[in-house]
Amino acid sequence: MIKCNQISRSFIGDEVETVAIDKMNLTINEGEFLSILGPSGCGKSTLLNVLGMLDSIDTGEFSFLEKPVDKYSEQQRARLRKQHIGFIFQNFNLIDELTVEQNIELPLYYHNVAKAERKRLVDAVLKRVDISHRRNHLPAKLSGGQQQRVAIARAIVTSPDLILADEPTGNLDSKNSTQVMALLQQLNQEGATIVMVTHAPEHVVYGTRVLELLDGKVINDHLVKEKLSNKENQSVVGADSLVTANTEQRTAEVTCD
Amino acid sequence: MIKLLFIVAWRNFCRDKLTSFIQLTGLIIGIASFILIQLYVDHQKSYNTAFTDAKDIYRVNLIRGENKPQAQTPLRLAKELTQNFSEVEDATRISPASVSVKHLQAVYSERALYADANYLDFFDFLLIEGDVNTALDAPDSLILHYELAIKYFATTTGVIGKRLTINGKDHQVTGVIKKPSTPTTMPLTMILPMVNFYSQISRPEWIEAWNFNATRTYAKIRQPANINTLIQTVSDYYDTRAKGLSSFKTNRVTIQPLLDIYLDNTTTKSLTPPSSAVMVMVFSIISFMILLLACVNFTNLSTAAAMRRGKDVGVRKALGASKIQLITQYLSEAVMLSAIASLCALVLVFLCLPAFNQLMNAEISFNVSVAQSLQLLCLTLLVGVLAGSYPAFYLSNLSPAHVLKGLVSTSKSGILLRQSLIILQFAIAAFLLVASLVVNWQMQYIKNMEQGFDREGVIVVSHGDNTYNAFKSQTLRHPDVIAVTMSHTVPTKATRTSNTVRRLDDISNEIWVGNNPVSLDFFKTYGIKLVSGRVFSNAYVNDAYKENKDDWQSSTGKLVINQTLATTLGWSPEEAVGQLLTLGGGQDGLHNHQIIGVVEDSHYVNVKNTVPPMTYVLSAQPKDLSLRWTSIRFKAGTSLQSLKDVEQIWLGLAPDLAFKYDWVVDLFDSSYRNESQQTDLLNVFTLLAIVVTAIGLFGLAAFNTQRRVKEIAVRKILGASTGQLCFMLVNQFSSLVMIANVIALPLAYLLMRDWLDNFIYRINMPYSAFMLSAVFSLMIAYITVMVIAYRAATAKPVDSLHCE
Repeated sequence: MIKCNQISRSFIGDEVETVAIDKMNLTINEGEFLSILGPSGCGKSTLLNVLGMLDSIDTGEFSFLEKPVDKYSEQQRARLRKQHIGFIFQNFNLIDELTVEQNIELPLYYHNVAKAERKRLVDAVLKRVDISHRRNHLPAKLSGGQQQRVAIARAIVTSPDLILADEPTGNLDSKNSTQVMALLQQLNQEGATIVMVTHAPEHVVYGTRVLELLDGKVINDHLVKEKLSNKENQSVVGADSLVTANTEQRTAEVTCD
Repeated sequence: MIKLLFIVAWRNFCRDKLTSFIQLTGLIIGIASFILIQLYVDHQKSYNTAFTDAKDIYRVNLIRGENKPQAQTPLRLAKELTQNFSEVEDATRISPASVSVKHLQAVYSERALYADANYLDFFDFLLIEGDVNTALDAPDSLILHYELAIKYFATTTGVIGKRLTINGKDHQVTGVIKKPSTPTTMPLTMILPMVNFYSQISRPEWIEAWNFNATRTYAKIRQPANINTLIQTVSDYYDTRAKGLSSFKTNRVTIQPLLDIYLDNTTTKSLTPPSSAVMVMVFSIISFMILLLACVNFTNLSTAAAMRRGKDVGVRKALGASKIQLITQYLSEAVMLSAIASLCALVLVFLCLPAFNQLMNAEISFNVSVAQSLQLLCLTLLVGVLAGSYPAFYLSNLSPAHVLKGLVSTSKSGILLRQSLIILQFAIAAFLLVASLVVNWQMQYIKNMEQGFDREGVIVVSHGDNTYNAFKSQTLRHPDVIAVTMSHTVPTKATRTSNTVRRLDDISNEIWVGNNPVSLDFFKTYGIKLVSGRVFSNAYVNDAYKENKDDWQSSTGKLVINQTLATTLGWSPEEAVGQLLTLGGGQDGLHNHQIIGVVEDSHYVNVKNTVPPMTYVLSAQPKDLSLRWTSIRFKAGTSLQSLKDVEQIWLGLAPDLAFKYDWVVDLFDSSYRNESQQTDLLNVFTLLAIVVTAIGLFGLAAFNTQRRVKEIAVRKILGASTGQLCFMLVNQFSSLVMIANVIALPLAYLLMRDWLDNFIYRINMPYSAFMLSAVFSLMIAYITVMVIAYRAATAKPVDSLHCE
């Protein structure tokens, strides 16, 4: 689905140039649930923005559904984004003035979906994230977990091919986090490709693949299930993975959790 | 503490430069407009205030029949007033006339005032030279205004005793009047003793006639309480003497305070063209509206910015600041800003005043005196407090717990207030838009209206009756001259004589008509079209009008009438030709004259007055019926040389008589000068009001958009296009603008309807003006907000989300 070849993105501040993504190669296949881990400032969010076409790259090649996105104009990227990608944010980014239902309906409205169809889709997705009883509430009246479920509903209502989640549990307590993660896992199992940035290593188990970043570079890239079996086999996976004992152990712990 | 107050105020001012700049610009324009308009209004109201006795001086006007009051009165009225009415302490007369001044071989035409010797007791101008008490005593005395002194003698001092030949008579300068600093309705020209005016009147008995109106009469009355009784008694006195002398059924007087003269545009034949009290009031209101708009901008942006300041309030309150201290802080910031704005506005006023004076053809000066400084200080404080009090009280009332959490922005009352203020602003702007559109269209209409005569290419010259025949035959030889004529009055000037006419079969039904004695070719010269019959011609010996005072029945002469008169008489133009009309009445006997032609209606004076029924009679020789004006029609696009040629012919025949000409087009335009100027002024200030409103909306839109930047990003990520986002941002104001129009337009309709009703010739209420105003105000709102919306909608969404 996504192919990144030697992509770079840097930000020029007042005095220093910060390299957020440094000549990165990355391929994401359909049906994957990729968790991106790494310390603050390692380039996780930038990568997610690049993948979501909210940000452009400086150099390299980036294709989405075999389309050369790096050569696309802002407008073309916007169209592609609108058709194929749903977003989930750490701070939910619901529109305060709109009700739950209206928030979810908004992308459909921008997709020029007819009114009756909009209602049907919204009803379905409300049920799915189990928030139908709050449909007429304003976001401010909901708990954090409920707000995130609304945000997820909004992200998936257009049935996007790819869901990008930027620390979806960052503002949630553990109970709500678990619920949200379970929901994402279920979406993945139903066929959605998900890329999630997270600070919580314990959540990678919900996904299928883990990517670890440091200073704009991939330092670890492995499958969750393979990892488990690898641990049992005491062997190293992926000839091109730079797996250190440390990360291996941590991943193992996580997996066992 | 006070120092800190200013430091904080200054830093706040610098922190949000856009908002501060917008607030300041709005205030500067508002205050500057206010000052300028107020200067204009003061100037308009200050006419004649410089005269010491101004409050006790009154002008006596006549109301004859159904006519408007007129300032022109009989010459004997002043004498009658002082002799028979004890309330009248003194009276003076002023008769304007154009004179020929001969000086150093050259002849100049001037407008002179013939005045009684007590002129300077009434109108105490300061003299640079001369004795106020004796300046007009000698019959050959002459008082010059400083400008004329400079024109003829190149100096304003040492002029006393110098000589000028005026209308062939030697005059000696006895006084030079200093340039007055306050405007006056007295023309600033030369003043000659009244006796010289008498010698110009063709029939000496007219001097004592009650129906020969040739002067303006001013009276000093010390007991204004009794003015109404005095008006009654003088009216009765005048009526008993004037009755029967003219065709008017009633003869009344009004006694009008000198201070009201300039702003009274009902009374005709004032010495200077009047202004309009209504317009001055309208401008006063507009100046307050613009100031209010500017204050509203300030309040609006301040409350909007309260979100930013909210935290500041929370911290201050938490640290123990009292409400009063906070109010003081915010109010003083507002006053500081308005003080800066006032200073800038002052500079702006100084810079704009020359252009403004040019626009208004006025000499308004702006001296910052102690009184004016105080006024300005009060204005500054008022604006500061007015604009700053809502934000100050609003902010100081915030609960610190709330604002520290950042909950200020969602205040419902704040949003409601901001929206109401936007509505108020747009209502004012829409109102002014409609008003200026209607005023402009009405003015265009009356200016472009068919006048019934062709005003292009015609000049009028005063006098010329002595040399007329020779002048006409010589001038007609000039290749550029089409026609030459003389007449008693000309279009753009009032009809001076009147008649009473009746149908033979309805002798009791008297119709008052204006009368214009003319010589041959009058209709050709003015392009007045013949509707039926014929015009006067040499071919018919009996065309010329001659009254026989010994045997009225044997009076001769034919009549040309206008369409209005034909209609009034109940005839079609064709039916009227050949009919006989009975003229005369009063002390004169009745005499019949045949109608030979009907011509199209043409406006005399201007379309502010209705076209009267008119008769034209032929004066065989100019002297016969006292023809006053020589008119010459040139070919289109004639050169200045042709005019010089004609002047040479004139001077060759009458070396002492100045050839002073006016294009009829110019006379026509000047009769609308005040209206044109005031229309221009209305346009300028409507534009300014719109600018101030737009500035305010721009600021508020910028603020609102800033507040919604995250939402815009989210919507964009969800797939909203730039167009959709722009529409969303722009559209938030359209309902407000529509509400404003709904409020303003009915009000504008009522006021404009009343205003239009004042015109005899008026456009129908132009509903398109209301449409245009609504569309235009929406467009202003859209364009203003679009600038901001587009920037916000095209911004990268990721940047907005980052700044969380």
